[in-house]
Amino acid sequence: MSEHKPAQHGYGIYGVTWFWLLVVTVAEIGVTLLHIPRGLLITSLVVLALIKAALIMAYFMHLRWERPVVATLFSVPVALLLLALFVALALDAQLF
Amino acid sequence: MAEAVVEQKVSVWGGGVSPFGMSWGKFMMWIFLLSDAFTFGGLLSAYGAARMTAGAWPNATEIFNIGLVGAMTFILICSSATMAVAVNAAKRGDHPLVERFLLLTIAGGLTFLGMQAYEWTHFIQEGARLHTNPWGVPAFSASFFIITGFHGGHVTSGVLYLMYVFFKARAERRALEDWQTPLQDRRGRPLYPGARVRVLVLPDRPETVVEKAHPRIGRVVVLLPGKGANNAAMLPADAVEAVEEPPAPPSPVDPHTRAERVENAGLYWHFVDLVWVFIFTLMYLIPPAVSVAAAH
Repeated sequence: MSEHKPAQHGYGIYGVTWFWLLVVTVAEIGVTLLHIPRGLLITSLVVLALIKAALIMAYFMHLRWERPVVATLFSVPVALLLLALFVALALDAQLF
Repeated sequence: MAEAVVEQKVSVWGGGVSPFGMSWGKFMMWIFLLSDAFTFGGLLSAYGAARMTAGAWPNATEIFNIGLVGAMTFILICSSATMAVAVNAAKRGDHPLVERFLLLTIAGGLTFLGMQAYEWTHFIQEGARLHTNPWGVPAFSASFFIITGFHGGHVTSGVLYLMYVFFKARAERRALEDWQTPLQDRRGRPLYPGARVRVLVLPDRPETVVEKAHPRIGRVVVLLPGKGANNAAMLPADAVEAVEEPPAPPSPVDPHTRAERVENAGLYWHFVDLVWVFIFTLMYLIPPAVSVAAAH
């Protein structure tokens, strides 16, 4: 009864999300081929991965159309997890 | 007094029966995915710790075919997009489209698994084992096999899950079609399961009840009275006659359950794609500070 009605939208949004996920994937492989400083390379790879994750969660997993409390409940622990992951990674990357 | 208590409950809780605006099943899927995220987080953190303590680490971009891994990523993104279409179609009630896009998603998952099997075979042929490898960093092959294997296991489970959802969707569509166009006796009366019928080929038998109706086969199963335990008979529809106009049974398919089954499977499938984003970045793309070459 109190079911939250998702916004009605067409199939086009999945095509758009698909396209941008591919663009970011190509960009990820592209930056590894550039000869840029290691710190910059790793930072860009992490940022690109986070963009992909956000696209998947927001559009494919429909978090954009769920109640904000749901998105918060599931994004915050995952964000903390990723923070821990990338801090460990940054040490390996000798960013600090 | 009682009124005051009720009022207080409402003001403190305020979430009603569905505080997250989603059903129990979907919420449980989210809880499961969150716990699975921590499992993968733990595995990837252990991998990060192993890389930190190893000092030098093999360069994955030189060992694995990044073109192949890129193609695997591409396939997984495509299958996630087809899954999203299936979920949306299920919400709209476009069920033939759901089945078609579920099949496309399954095909994507199987292609990914095939490519991963090829990659593993190649890696093993190069001498990599769970605890040893030609690069002299045991944690390198161990973490690769465990993490990509755990992810591949998720893809395998996902393919099986989607196959279940596909067959269930097809069975429900057929059950609904059968319910909408039921089998009829010679007078055009519907022969639903439970309908009281007379068996015309056995005029001496008393009335009996339809156990099952098979509109696609054109036959009904009836239990013939007085013939012992094993007394079922499968008869053509025009060999029986309904003795009364039976009331139509309720719909065999609940539209909400039907749509949500696809949606929950979709959440799982997108999560598997989400995990691959991090595996792809952390295990394949980020080069080590100090790399080691194979000691062939």
